[in-house]
Amino acid sequence: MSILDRLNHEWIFFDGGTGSVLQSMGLTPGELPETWNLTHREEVISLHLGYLNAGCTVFNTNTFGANRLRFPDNLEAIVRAAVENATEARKRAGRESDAYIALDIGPTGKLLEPLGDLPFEETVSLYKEVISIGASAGADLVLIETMNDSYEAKAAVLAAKEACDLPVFATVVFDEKGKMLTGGTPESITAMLEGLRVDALGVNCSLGPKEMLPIAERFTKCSSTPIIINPNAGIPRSVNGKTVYDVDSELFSDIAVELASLGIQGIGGCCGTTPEYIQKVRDKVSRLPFRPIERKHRTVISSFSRCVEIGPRPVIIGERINPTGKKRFKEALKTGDIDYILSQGLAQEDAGADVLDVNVGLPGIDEPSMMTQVVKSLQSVTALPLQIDTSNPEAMERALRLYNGKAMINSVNAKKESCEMVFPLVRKYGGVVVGLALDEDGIAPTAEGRIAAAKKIYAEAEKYGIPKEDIIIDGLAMTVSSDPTSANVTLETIRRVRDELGGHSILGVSNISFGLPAREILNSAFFTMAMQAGLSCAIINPNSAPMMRAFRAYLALTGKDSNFQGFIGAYAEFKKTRELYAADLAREAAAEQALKAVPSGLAGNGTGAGHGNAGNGSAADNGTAGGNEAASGNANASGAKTFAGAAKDAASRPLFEAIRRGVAGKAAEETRKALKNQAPLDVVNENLIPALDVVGKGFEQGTLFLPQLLMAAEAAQASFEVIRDAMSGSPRVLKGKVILATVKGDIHDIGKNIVKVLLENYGYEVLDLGRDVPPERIVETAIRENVPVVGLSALMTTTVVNMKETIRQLREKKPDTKIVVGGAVMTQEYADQIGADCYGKDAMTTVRFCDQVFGK
Amino acid sequence: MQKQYDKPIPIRTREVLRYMGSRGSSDPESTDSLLMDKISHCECALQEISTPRAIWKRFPLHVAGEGTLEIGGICMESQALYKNLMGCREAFLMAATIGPGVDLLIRRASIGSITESVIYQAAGAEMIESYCDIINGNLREAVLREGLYLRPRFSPGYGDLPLTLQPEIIAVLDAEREIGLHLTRSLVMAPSKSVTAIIGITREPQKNHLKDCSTCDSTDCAFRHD
Repeated sequence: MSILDRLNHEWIFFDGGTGSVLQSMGLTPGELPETWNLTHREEVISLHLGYLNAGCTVFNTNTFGANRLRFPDNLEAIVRAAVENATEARKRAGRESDAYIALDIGPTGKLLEPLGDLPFEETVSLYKEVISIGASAGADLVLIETMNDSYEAKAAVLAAKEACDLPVFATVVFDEKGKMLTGGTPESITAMLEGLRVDALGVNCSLGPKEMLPIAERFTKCSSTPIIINPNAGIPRSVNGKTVYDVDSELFSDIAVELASLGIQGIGGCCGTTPEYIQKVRDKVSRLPFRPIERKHRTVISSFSRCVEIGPRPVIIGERINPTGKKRFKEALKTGDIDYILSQGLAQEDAGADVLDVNVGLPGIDEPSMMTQVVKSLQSVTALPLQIDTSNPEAMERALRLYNGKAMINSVNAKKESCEMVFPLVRKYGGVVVGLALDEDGIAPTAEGRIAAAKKIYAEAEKYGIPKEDIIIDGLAMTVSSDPTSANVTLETIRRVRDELGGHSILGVSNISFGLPAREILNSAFFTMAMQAGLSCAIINPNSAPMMRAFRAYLALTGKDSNFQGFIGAYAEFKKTRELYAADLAREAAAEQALKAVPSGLAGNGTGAGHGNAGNGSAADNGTAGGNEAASGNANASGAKTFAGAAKDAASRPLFEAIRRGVAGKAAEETRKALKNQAPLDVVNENLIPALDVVGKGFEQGTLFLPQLLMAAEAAQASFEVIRDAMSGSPRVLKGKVILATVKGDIHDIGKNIVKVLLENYGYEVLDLGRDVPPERIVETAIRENVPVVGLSALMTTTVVNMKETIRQLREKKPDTKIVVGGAVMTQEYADQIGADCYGKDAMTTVRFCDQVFGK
Repeated sequence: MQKQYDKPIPIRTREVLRYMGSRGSSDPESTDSLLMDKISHCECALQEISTPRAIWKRFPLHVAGEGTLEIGGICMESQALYKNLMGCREAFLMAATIGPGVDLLIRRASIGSITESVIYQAAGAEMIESYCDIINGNLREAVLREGLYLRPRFSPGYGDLPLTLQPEIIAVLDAEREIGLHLTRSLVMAPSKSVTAIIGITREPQKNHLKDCSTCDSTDCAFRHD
């Protein structure tokens, strides 16, 4: 009988602490417990015997910390011995038919990227190695435990699934607030682990049984998979140098009864618990009636820390990470400007997106590697779950594999070929998949036809063991301009998915208005109608004010915005913005009037040059009327005042001032104004460069400090963005190429990033190689791109050696390249010692050095 | 032992400004209001996201020779530490972190606003120092009941105390498991805003129990406390 035949049919009892028991047998603190598998076999066997005799169903091999990093020389021997000791103990206890050996898998001891420096795939392979050995030695199941980081848990589960066919159980660690160290919650980790199809999941370590009660309860509400709870014996204290725990076996087992009554399926102990604890838990809990876990039918996706449930209210999926129709985005994909792509994601998050769609498909781009890079980068800066949007099977698989959570997948359809490509990936990595309601015959013109396609998708998914709740049907919004009935057909499809199929739906809402003017008006109205028809997910542009208004108004009107918090939070200032805008318009109007009255020569300064883009704000559509009214009021006074300042006055150089003071929004706005009257290059030469010079000199003289320099740089960057859009396509004139990199072994990159921003400001093209960069890559790039200046950063004394090595290799293979070094530990003396050409003591030094090298 | 700290840790804005290189004029009152707004916004976000945790253990201290000490089974060779712990018979080993949240904020800001990432960097540094000061204060009170005092805390990397001790200190404290503090291959701590330290316990009353910069040669360091 396999453990899976018993799991979810009866109470499963797990063993208790290992380290604490071995320490009582003489293991010293700091000594690696796994070495005892070879050196103290009898002690390890007696540890197991204690738990077997106490009546546990599953007991763990002594392999918690066993991996190649800790045991480079004798990993195989240690893991084999562990399983052999467990097998021997089970034999001696006479429990060969009803006790199961769990291959115990703990954290690697290293932190994964991006928090630390262990790459995801390397983690998978570390675990695979241990699990292959353990499985071939005869373990009955794999128990992944004490995971603090969901990403590491995912690596371990994937490794187990790929290395063997054994059942996989996984438990993670929470603090008292119900958070994992990296931010995960019971709900988010359940979504991910269920997606990966583990056989049981739950929590262990760190907390005592009492503190685990609320956490266990949360698991019982969200998990459809059997739940395991393995608490510590309370909170540890140090008494005379020994660690003792404050919950005794009596109290522990009493609370275990409470835990069990919540509806969990497996229980045991962790640090500080002994066979005595497990015996009492077994005695008391086995008398309780057993309840199997029930299917919850929740549709959930997750990130490393957040879980988004689809159903309770419409979910907003940001559509802006997509090159379709976006020149700037395409350029970013071609030049590998990941930061631009990320900034599109963060802006949507700020605007209220729940999920980010990620589509980086563009002819001529290596989509799988771009997708991997973007997903990896996005999940290191945002907690929003991602929707992997691609038709490229390799891009889809690679993205799903390294995604830290349970992703949304866009998309599958009812065609056989599509199902065969997508469903195996969903099966393996988990995910909620968008099912386009179309099949071999194309898109049906009727709701009936689309519902039939939807049913086909559900049925196909089921063949792969993918439940209906992991499918979201796309009702297919088609432009109403080519078929006036299309909106109705789509809405009816949505309604029937909800009412007849009991499923969830999704739409790319803005498709409805292709080919028509004032698209936002149609889009937002259609969006409201679709939500009313039961739309579960909307792929929209969350930066569009009318769309978000429709969304928030819908929530407020349908009782889905408790206390109107969301609505009030977003629009409490609504009236105020309108008034502000009105005042703005008034000033504009006045300035224009004033302009007409003065000789044209003065107009070039741009103050009164109109306000072309002001309408972008949230008050744009209904602000106009108010604005006109205000314009006839006190407009003359304020307008005249603004304009009255002479050309020499700072106020008459608003762009210069905005940059000098570091107000990015204002700088962008003033740039737009200036461009009405000036050529882009003139704007740069007359405003941007002088302002940056003033600030740069202030910094060098010590009258301004770093944050002020950076704020000015950011304002200049915002201005450059506008100029770049205006020049659309015509390439910027660049002074030259510079490589920047944080050297191998160093994962701190802020200094490098600062220098990058400033160099870009001053017109250099920066090839940013990132952090932890091996010397070979720097040399290779310098040669390939023929780069005259390389900037290296190192924060630690321990990594300066790598800086030295990088310089040595550069000197040897690319001797004409100049090298500037910087970083916290760097000094002039150090820089000379390792043979650099320049010591970048602060952010501006590197800029000046480059100006010198490039002769600008 | 281990503590998960759930009160807000004071972030002293003056210190944040100093870490950002304000060069003496670190008076919040006289700093540009735009920048101050940004700083207070960042401080709030940092309070929100940080998950401070610490662990410490008390060990006997053995002097094995001039400049060589043994604490908790770890052999430490350092003249500076030897000087710091002169006359101590016991010491705490401690490790503390404000958690990985600050690193997320720094990464995030480096895309949108490099200024903010500099502020997070500085505010994070101040927060972990401030947290260590709180822990030191509590430990000081605890030993005071026994009529004992604490020497200023001393960390690997100060003076001639090598960073190569980090793996052993982290192992003895089981800091990976207890507070989520890890080391990278090049011995950088992750999360980045973390501290490990040695704190001597002595019979002699002490003026300063917080942080000892007096033995360090880097006199122009922004982090220096005199």
